[in-house]
Amino acid sequence: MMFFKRGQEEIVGFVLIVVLVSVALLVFLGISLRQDSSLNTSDSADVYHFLESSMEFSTDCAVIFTSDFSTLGELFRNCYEGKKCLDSEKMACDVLEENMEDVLESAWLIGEDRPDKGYKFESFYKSSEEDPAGPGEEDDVIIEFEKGDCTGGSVRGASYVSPAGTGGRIQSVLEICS
Amino acid sequence: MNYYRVGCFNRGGRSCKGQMKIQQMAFVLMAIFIFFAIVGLFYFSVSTGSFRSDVEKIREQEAIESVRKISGTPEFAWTVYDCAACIDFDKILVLKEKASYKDFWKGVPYLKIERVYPRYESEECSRGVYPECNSITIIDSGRNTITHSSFVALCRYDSGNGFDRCELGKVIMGFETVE
Repeated sequence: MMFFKRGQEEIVGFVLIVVLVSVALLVFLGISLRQDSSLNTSDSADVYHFLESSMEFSTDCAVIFTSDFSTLGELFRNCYEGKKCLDSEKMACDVLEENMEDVLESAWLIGEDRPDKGYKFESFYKSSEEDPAGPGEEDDVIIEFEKGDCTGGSVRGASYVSPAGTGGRIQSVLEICS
Repeated sequence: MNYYRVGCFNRGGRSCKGQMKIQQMAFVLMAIFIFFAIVGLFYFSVSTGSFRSDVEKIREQEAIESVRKISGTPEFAWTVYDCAACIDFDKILVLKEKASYKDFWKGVPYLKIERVYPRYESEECSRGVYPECNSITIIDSGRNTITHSSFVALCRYDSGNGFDRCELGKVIMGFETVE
């Protein structure tokens, strides 16, 4: 009987140590995983500067009068309002799509053998201030592009907000996948 | 013949068993302590590694911001209307030719303005090909540099059409590296 008791004591001690160690390991794993998930998407000054600069890009679409050519930033608003270009009779949305696609392709060189594997661009109209960063159910998507592989790896991105005439705002979000 | 047990003085070996148990306990405690110390060290090294990458990221962002800051200086700024992202491409072409600006940016070994979209056939801008050219190199000291770039809007007066036009460009700035 004494022999068994002593053996039980040892087993209890061993189990206690194993439990203690596994709890410590779980805590460590939890902390490291939480850190990794927060690092996965990061704000990028470079992407923000791209959005800010591309909004100033002059297009060949004049909406109000013939020599007043709209910038890309203005075309987002004109596209949302369904306006037409005066000289070419093209829709503002078509000109916006053409120009934005060209600007994105020239600025971000995407490919399997390149550091940047893909990008996602989305622009949407937001009606109220309290909406979260992404597009909600009531937000209208103006244009969206996706190129390359954006399924894994790290993502850096930024969003640019410009005022829309009807009291809302137009938010453009670009994510670059590496 | 007399045998003596070292460290055990009481009868029946009771104290000996107690001492053994204390020793066992001490060894187990030490093993646990060493184990946790190793785990702690491992965790510390992993977290320090992530600090290093964080610091590198912050340094890169700072470098990009300092590149961007140059677009706000009077020598580069587009002043026709309020635009933080715009630089005056006409002004930069003139600036490149001015001898008085040769040593203006003393700490900068490399400074170039590049058009990203649209692109033209001629690379380096001169009065002959401007504005249908892609870049203006303001400083190129030939020293070893690490470059950082930031997107800007390159604005100019389009004399052919009689209005201002902005295109997408980049300011590329070199920072000296240790040889």
